[in-house]
Amino acid sequence: MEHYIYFIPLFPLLGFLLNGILGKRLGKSFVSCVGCTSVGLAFVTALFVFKDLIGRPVEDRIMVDTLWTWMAAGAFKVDVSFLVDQLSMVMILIVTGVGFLIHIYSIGYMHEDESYWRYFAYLNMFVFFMSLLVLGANYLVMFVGWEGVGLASYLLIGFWYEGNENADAGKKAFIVNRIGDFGFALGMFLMFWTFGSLSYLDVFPKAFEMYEHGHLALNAPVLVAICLLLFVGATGKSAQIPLYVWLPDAMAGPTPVSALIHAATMVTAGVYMVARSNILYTLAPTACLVVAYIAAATALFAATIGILQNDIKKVLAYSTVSQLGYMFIGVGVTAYWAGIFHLMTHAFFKACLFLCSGSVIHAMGGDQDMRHMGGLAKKMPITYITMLVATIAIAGIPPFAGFFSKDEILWKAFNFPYYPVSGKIIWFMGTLGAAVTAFYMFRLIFLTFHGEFRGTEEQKHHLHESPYFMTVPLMILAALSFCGGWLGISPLIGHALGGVPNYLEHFLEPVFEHSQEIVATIPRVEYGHGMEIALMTTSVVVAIIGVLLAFHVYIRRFPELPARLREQYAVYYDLIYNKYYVDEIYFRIFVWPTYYLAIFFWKIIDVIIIDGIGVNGPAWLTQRGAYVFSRVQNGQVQTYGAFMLLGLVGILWYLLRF
Amino acid sequence: MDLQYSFSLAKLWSICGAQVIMLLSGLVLLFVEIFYKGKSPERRLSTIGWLTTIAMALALGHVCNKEWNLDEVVFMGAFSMEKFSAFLVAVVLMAGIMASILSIGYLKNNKIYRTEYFLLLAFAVYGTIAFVQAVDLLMIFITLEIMSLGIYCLAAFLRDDRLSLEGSLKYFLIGSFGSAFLLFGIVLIYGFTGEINLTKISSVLARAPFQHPMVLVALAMIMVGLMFKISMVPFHMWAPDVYEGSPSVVTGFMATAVKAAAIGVFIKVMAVGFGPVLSLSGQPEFYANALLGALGAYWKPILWWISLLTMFFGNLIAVNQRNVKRMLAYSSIAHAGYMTLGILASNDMGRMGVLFYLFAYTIMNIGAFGVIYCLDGQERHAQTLEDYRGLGYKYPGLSFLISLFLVAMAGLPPTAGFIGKFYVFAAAIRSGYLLLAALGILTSVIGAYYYLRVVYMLYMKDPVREISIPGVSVSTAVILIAAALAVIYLGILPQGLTDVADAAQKTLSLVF
Amino acid sequence: MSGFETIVMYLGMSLLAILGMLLISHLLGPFRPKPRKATTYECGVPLLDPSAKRYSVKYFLVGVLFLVFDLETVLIYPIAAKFKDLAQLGWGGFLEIFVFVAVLLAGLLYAIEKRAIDWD
Repeated sequence: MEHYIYFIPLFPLLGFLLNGILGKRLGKSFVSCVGCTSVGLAFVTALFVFKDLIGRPVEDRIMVDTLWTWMAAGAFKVDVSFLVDQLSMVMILIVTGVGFLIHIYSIGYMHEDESYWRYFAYLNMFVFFMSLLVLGANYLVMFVGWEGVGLASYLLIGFWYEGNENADAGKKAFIVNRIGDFGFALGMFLMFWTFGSLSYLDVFPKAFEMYEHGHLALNAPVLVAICLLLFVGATGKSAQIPLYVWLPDAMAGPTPVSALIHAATMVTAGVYMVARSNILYTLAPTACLVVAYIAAATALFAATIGILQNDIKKVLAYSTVSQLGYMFIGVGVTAYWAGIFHLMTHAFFKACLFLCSGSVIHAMGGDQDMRHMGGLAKKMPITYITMLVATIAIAGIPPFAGFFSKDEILWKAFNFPYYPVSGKIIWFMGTLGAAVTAFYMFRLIFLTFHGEFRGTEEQKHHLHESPYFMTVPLMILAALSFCGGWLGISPLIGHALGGVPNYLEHFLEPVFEHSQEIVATIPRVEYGHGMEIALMTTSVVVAIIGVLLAFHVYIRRFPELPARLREQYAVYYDLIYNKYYVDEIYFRIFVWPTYYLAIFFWKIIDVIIIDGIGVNGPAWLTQRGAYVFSRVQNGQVQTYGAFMLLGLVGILWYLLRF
Repeated sequence: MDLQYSFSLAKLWSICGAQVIMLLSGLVLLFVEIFYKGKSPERRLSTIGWLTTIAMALALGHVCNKEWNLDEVVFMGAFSMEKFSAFLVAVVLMAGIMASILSIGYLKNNKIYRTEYFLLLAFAVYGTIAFVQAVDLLMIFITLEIMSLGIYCLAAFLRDDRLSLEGSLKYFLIGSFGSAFLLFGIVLIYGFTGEINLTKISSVLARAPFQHPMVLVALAMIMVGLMFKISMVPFHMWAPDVYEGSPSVVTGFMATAVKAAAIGVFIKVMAVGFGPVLSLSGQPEFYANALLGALGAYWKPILWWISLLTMFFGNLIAVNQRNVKRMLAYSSIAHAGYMTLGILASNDMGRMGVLFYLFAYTIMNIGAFGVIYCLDGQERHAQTLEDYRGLGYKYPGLSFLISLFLVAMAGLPPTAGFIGKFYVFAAAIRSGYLLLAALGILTSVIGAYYYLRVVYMLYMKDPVREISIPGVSVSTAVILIAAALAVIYLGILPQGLTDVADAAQKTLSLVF
Repeated sequence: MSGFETIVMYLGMSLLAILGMLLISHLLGPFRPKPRKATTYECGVPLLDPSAKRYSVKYFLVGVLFLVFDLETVLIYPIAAKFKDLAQLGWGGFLEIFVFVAVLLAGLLYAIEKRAIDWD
């Protein structure tokens, strides 16, 4: 009885087709009905699959549903098939569950938009591709989903295409993701070359077997290459340094889209991919180290940018980049389940935060600038409370969800089995980032909901609590942000509470079994409970310091202290306010006069440079290069003939050179 | 006269049936064209157009009707019809049918009622089929010329259009240049082996010192002649001018059928004529699966570089184009580069991938040019990127179709283009061309940029000038929608076609 | 490579000789252009009209048609020479040449109907 998994992607696909083809004619109520029902049905199916899955003995918890053979040539074969195990189960429940809530929220949020049907069609398409990504039983199906969600995101970012800026943001997202996808595709081909297959059920056991039989050394170059190339894809999709630049701009799309795609689900695809390929990463410690360092750097870097953003959605965007960094720290230090755990809690509280910000923006009549807000708590109590809950969760204060997952990640980072010293550094960066997170998130709360209203009279008049379609999902998500973390209580606390088990870790354990076996063979220092308690206390204390600091600056001494700080530290202020000038740097580097030299670097030699290029860079470069080359195409038949002759001479020279 | 080949009508019909049908119907059309006056020019045009279509459909029926599991695949040492050729003939005829149906609408849009168009198309299709089927170097040359003459005239069919005439003349001049190379190569190989039949050439070469400079020069010349038709860098320079100048539908036909045929013949010549090695017994042996056949060691490194250059230049220059047709011209150069990867791989998967790619590419390319002519109205009325701005909401159907075709060309899943690319890249990797495949993937990233820029223009920019297009005829719409469905279908369920393509490429050894 | 050196030397020498002669005449010869001098020289007869004239396209059409039918004769000729051998094939050989001529005839009819050989 596994042949019903395909219903999960099928429902959103049908919804997409119905809305896409007929939506324009059938009116808004039909469109919202189809849009929400399809995702709701997918969620229900996922629940059935879940029931089925936990009804099985632990060693048998893998369900494969093969639909048809997609490609076959000789020994090579790729099926269109879906695989449900514990990992994809967690993911698909998040995707369809949170997706369903956000669909409902969208009914309220988008009700005035004239392209309502288009919006829901795209959103259903997104859920379809996302479930392909998560459920696919091989890398190729995952890749289809990977590209598909990129397309959906591109379309939705540019949804209000009338503003050129929005369309450009969509384009930027797409191009950056193509660079990432290039890495992903290469990694995939290299994997195919190494293991002769792309199916999870072939590649992972084979990798483990080859390792056990000594055919594949720990840290074998080819594995490191595969993992790093795949990670290049992940940096694009999951907005890590250096390819994170598209995500803040992606906030141009409608807010529910930001919540669903650019916070809760799509951007976590990279984390899922790394967790899915856990055995490969475990066998390539160098790749793990790179992942962990990039992740830690992203976590801290993006958090600092978040401090000074004035656009409420931009703050959340940088916070997402930063939180994704935490997830990658988790999977990077081989604590895969912790990464997935944080992915889950983050999906709850970040979706909640985004939807709350949507509610605020809705009330403000589309204004996203926090400098115009203030004192909204009285006008929008539900939004205020739910957002506060989610903020406490992201700040990492117990017993809210974020505390458990973030703390687990930091503890595992401290215990990084392969590189203990780096583990400490990463832990330190992560903890520092946690303090900054608490600070900027509470800054957001204080600026938005407390103090005096700073907007126009008209806006003040317009302020109102959002309709139930919007607030009910908020409440559900807030509840989940509050208690979602209890699924993964670490043994230490669980023991203190009287034997509360760590449900999530036990549930996910079989997926990471081989990885854990390998890691267990690495000698390392074991830290006791004392250390764990100390670290836990540290992270809570720094979070509270962050909150208090925010309170001091933005409530007690507002507005004169922020203004004074701004003047006093103008240099740093500008630097951070302008996001460290990364966009500008990316552009400048490639306007360098010797661009054609850079072209060669870019094209042929250096993958690192490829990673390093921003958005305007490659487009500009390619166009310049193309211009130079198209000079040759001058329309003269003589030139054409001469080139043919030259080609022939070249060939003859090669053939007769002996 | 050499009497060893016995002439038999039955054999002629079974092996060259499609050619016979095309030739006879071409002759019939000749008289219809003279004597049929018709009620109005439009009626006359569509009647002759449909007659041509029917003729091609009959020929296609002849090809598809047979299993082609024959013992006898060669007719008088001149033409062969094994599954490999049958596949390509079918692709060519499919392209021809699509082109001739689209042409009816195209000519009406442009108010051109000269019906020689369809005659030329029919004879060009005839020449292309014969070119694919030829296994004799002389026949290859003659049929290549028949094909080219038809195309030259079609390219110049917009008599009052400067670009069309200029393109055609350039094509003719450079084409003669290319043919001269081919002919010179044939002469040299004939001089060395005393044979013009591919099979015999290979058996002579297998016994003779094939590293002889004369053979190598002949190899180079023949390669250049064929690569010219495939439009591989640096023999590609005619393509953009000609593709831009020619009537859109002709461009579509040129970019697909001619390219498919030339690639097919290229594979045939390289795998059969220059592919054999000596087996242990001293007998020549067809050895298509060898990574390096006897002469493979010579032509493969060349093809490696040419493939790289083709992918690289095609994609890079396409980025800079403002004219959509010209952009697609460069993109078709790039596609030739990808297909070369499959040829280079020289394994089953590679050749199968090339055939699949050709099929998919034919559908999406003709589809794209079909939409271009529809959006154009009259030729060159609206075919720059600026003209396409914001059309997505004014003409949702056509915009969606061209977006789909372009996405397929960019190789995004789940479209036929993705599957084709995947196969050729995977085959190349399997044969050890890891670096080339990686570079190829990199160029396809550039490719995605310019394809999707069109989509971006269609949907995310506001129009700068008013574009109004005449209605799309039902037949055109049917062809375009069928092509779109095929592109998606082949992306999701490619297995049927890959099986056929695989069976087709396996029969290459029958020619030998 | 024996023998090739000589050829290469020969080619090189002749190239040098040509270039040398051109150079010498360029250096030594006086260069005083006058409009009269720059006109086309036609055996001392004054110029009648420009040499780059437009011919009627009909001329090319007839020329091409002539060329086609002229060359076909060459292709038919071997059949006549080998007729005895061919006769052993029965109708096959006849059919072949018949088809060949029929195609030609069709072409001729087409050309006539399209009024390709009418001068006006």
